[in-house]
Amino acid sequence: MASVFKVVGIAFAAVVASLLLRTYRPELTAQIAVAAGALLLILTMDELRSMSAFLNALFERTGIETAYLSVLLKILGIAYLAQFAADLCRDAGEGAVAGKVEFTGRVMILALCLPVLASIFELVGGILAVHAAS
Amino acid sequence: MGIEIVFKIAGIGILIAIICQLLKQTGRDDMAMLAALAGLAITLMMIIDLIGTLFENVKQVFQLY
Repeated sequence: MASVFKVVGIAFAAVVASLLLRTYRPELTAQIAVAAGALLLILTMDELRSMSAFLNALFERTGIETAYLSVLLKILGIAYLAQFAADLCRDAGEGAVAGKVEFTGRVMILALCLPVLASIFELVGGILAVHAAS
Repeated sequence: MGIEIVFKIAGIGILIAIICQLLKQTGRDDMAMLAALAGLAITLMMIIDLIGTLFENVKQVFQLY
């Protein structure tokens, strides 16, 4: 709960520092944005770590394969980093690069999803085969 | 590792702005350019550490390899 105030404080300080530098050294505002963004994401990471442990325990108790949870977490991680990079590019005025980063993230997520899709098809095929036999 | 890195970058920015102004007034434009480049390099070095920490964290939490 206390970390909310931390996040607000970091964001506010970074915005003020960035505004201060914008007139004199505009190239350093991007650095401040990177530093503040990385700090905020690192702050979020503690909560995410405990959440991931909780999900792992939940999956193990319900008997679902934890490989699926691993795929889910990897997708989350890719989205996290791609969003970070794309936002930074967009802030620096490079919308085209930001779009490419997002597109690459989507392709990587799709590549991770394909094995799960294949297992779904296998499952459907198995059910159909059972029905055809009976 | 905290908010101080943002303040450090802001301080470096103000310092570099003043140095550039001084150097330009005394007619050494090439040195002003070098000072600006040095400021950029220093802040980049500071940020690289932070980004490395972020990547390590993301790798651990999301099991990315």
